[in-house]
Amino acid sequence: MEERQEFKDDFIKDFVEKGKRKISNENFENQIMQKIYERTTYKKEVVSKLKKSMYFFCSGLFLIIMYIFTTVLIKFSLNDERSFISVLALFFASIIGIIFLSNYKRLLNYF
Amino acid sequence: MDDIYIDRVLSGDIEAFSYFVKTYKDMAFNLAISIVKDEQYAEEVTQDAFMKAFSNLKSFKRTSTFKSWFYRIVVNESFLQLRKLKKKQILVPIETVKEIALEDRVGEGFTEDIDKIQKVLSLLTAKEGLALQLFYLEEVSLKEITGITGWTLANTKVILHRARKNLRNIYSKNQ
Repeated sequence: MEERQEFKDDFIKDFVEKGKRKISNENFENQIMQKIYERTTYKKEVVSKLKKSMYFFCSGLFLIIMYIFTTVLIKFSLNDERSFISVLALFFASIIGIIFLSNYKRLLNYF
Repeated sequence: MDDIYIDRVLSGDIEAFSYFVKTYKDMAFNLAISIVKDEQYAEEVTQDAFMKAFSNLKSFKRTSTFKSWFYRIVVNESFLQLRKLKKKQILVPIETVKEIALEDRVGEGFTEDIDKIQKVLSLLTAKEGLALQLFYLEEVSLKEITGITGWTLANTKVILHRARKNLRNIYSKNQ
């Protein structure tokens, strides 16, 4: 209240009020709502595609890991020296999986 | 009232957002034009501000009113646009604008019609114009202005004093 008194200036207030403008574009509201609808539809589409892509990626990753895991077990049972490569492949497949999944999560949060 | 519509928008009723567009479009436009000084760019800024408000409505924490939150978006978008325009050198320096505008009025006599009032207001700097709009037109408190603009309280008072002084100067020179 004090600040209103400190800066009380009827001339300026009146001046600013007289200088008030209105948007001349009569279609302004429709344009914005149209844009919002478009963006919402776009986001929905992107999210659905991302989810689909994530589903296929997870399935692929699961199959790869299971395959490598199986070969590791078989090779261990046969006492194969090359089983080290399979373990390494399993390790990298897991790392790639984690990175991809965290990126998917980020994208989904963004949209 | 705003809270009801915020809840409706957040629950998926997109049409409810048109309430905010109807209620705040002119206010946002006035703020934007006080900063960018051009109707076309101000309209663009207003559109961008509404789009941003819609996208970020989830993150609105309701610690302040929707109005102040939206003011902040408009002000940020306007200064962003202003920086872009300055980079492109589309804007003429304010001193040059003042000279041109004053020359235009020589001999025509300064009468207080709306068009000329708007011209005088456009001769103020972005900060001065914004301070006047917020304090006198929107009747926002000084504390809220500091929250919206990021200025300190002392700085806000200085800008308001300077804006009033400059406005009177420009006005008196043209009478």
